[in-house]
Amino acid sequence: MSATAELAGAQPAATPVGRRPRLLVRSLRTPGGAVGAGLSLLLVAAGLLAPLLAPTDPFAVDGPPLTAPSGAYPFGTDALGRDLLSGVIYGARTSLIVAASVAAMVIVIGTTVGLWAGYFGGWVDDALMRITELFQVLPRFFMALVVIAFFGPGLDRLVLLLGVTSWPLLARVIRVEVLALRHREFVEAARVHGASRTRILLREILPNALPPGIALLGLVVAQVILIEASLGFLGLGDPNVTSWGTLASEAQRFLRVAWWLSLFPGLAILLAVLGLNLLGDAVTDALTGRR
Amino acid sequence: MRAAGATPLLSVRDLVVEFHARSGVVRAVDGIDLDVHPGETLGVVGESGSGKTVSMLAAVGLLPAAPYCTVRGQVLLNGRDLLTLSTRDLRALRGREIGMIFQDPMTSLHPSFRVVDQVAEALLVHDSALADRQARTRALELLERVGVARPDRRVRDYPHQWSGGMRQRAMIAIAIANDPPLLIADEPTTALDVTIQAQILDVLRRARDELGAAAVLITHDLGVVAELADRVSVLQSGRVVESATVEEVFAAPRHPHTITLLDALPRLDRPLAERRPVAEAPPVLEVEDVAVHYANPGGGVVRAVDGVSLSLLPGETLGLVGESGCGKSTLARTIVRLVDPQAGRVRFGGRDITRARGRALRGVRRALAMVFQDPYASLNPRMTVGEIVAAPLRIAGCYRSSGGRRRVAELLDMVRLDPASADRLPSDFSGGQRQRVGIARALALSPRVLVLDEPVSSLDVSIQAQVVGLLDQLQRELGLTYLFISHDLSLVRQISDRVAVMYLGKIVELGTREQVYERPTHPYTQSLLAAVPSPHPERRSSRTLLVGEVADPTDPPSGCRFRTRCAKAAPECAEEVPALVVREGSDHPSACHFASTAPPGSPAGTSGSTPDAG
Repeated sequence: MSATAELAGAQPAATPVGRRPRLLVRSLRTPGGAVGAGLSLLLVAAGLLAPLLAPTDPFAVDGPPLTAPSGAYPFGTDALGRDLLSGVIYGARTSLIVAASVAAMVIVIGTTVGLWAGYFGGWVDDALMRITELFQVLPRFFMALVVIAFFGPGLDRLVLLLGVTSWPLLARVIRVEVLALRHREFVEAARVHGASRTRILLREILPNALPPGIALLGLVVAQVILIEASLGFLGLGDPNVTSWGTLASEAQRFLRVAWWLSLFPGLAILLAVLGLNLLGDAVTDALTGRR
Repeated sequence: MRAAGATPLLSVRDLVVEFHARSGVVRAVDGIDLDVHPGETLGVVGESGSGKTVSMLAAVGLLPAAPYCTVRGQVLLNGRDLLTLSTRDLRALRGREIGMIFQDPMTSLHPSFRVVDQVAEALLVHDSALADRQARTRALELLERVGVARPDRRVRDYPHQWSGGMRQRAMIAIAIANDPPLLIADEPTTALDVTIQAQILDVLRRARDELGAAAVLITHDLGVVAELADRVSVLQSGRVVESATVEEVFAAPRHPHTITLLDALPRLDRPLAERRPVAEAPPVLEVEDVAVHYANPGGGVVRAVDGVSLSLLPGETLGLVGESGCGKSTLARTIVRLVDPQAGRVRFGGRDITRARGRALRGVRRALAMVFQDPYASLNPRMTVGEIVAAPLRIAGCYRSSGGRRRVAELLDMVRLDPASADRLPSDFSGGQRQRVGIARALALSPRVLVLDEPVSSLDVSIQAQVVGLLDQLQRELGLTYLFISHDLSLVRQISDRVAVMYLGKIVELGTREQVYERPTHPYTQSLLAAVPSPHPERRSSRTLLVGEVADPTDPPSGCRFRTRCAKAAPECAEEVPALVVREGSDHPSACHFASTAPPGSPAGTSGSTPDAG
């Protein structure tokens, strides 16, 4: 910076004053954010790479029943001699499938409803928000029980149900953001240049409205994982896949003789939910200090 | 100058403030010395980032704690070193011995407590023996002292019911509540209109004189300093570069930075550069009898713009001046078709665009661009500067044909920004640089007319001068036509060919720059001109201040809308709406029954009616 502020016409091309780290970098810098991101990444890696990581097929009888954790069976084996480590890794896959599919549905429905309600306002807003409230008051867990009671257990119907009922929070957050953004000067600038409604919504408003929604999504997904595990624990999980909830449920009978059967699936649930919550919180914190 | 030679009330010695960021240590204040003697006012002047606010916050212990920031040096108040005091002692001292007034009156009052109670709290905090009732009575007295009319009628009011000027008065009442010997005012008028600024400066002056208090006035505006300060310290990059009496600084500044700041100050008394004559041609933009009304959520109809006609000739700059809330921004937004008027027409290049849609509207959008007020809100924070500047090109579908990245680089170069910064986000830029980005975006489609809505109001005075200079140069190079909206009269004078003065939805005076500034005939224009801080400390104003604030636009006064604040108001003003016509003895239109070049309040003014302090 030169000593005197030159008057216009004379000054050279000005360069930016500094570079602020991007949102993701800022949220990962906090201890909570780093741990949260690490745990979430672990969940995703375990889920995606389950066939490579797991020593055996989770349903395959692999050794002596109820073996305590050891070098050959790090997490021990269950009553049928199945390797628990493989079970927990494949359980991550189940959790990931449910979490990712529900998250995708929540993003699509929640963002669309939030954008429309916030941008158009008036009766569109009223109608959409009443519908949102309707879905928000549905007891998700009992709905899940009812659906499984009618149609039998299965991941597909569970994902569908949770996806259709988990979006209201996201829609509300996005709507509020859009309400605050739609009269901001940069949106008006786009309007002055003749930008179409689609461009304004997708290019100008959405990228600014989405981050708080994404932060919230971590929390929504953590709940979804809990619900899936809870259903498994009640014996209502999909019998064709391994789930942490199912593992924990089966472990109950051996609580006194095989502590590892309860500990490892429980720990997996705890860490996955904790990780997603920490990550969501860290992103929220980074966003709050954004301006 | 008041006290000289005596021991200073506040004495800052070798103050150093360092912020510890991840990227390293930032030294915001780099060893400054300041002295404030009893009863004296010290002006601390500098640009944003010069360390003026940080040094004062450090002095009263309002900076974040140790790991984030370190403060070294000595701050003696009446011989006690404030930097060594405990938090508890400091708290007892703030408010009692130091009264503080902050910049933004909109955020410095608590939104969910009544104003009166907040003033009373300032008393109760320091005097536990005081009864609530007494405190409230005293709070009402204080509010009356700072010029709040009939505070007893506003006991139940919350801050949101008060205007910015009123809230700043309340802040001053809080600051003077305990008769502190020292007042610190940090940019107390930066967020306010000139007229309100003049009122607030007046209140500050009176409060200071009644208390006999010393004051520190922190500001980037030397005009404000000239009005109020006895001595001035000029700060640059955390150091004091010049310290002298206010008369010396204005008469014979020594440091180059002081000279730069003085040069940047727009002033009414400086001879103006001749503007190029505007070619005879049909107007490029015409506004005919436009009215914009909208429903007020609280009931009633806001008549934001109420019958305005203007025309812009190709290549000229029309300055549009008025206080906040006079409708000038709404008019700008109507012209660029962000708002639809209830009545009237906007013609562009002879064609009516008031109801244009589709293809016709897109054509207008290419030729008519806008620069917005707030450089922090007008750029999408998630788009790079290159994307922002390219947006109009992409929207118009001519990004490729216009040269793509080459065109973006050219535009950035045009506004003197490094073309290599196209990949950066707006958050990497300063306010002045961001406003340049906004200008580059407006220029992207090579428009003929730019509507500039307070383009420099949120910038430092020295940065304002740079941006205005840039706009002036671009106008000459590109043959642009400007509608330049501002509440700052001295700024408008620099850049305009013609000037329109707006009050409460109507144009009250219209003429060439010389006509409006040298021979103003409307009392409102005259008051506005009188409110501009004069950079002549030796001639402090004995001027008549404009009383009150802009009237309620949902229920404007009958007849002449300005009559409630006008020194010339007569009975007929309440009955007949004055037309904007050229009156006898004048050479340009003015909407006043008593239009004359005699200033209001002078003996030449017609009728002896007193100003209505409503």
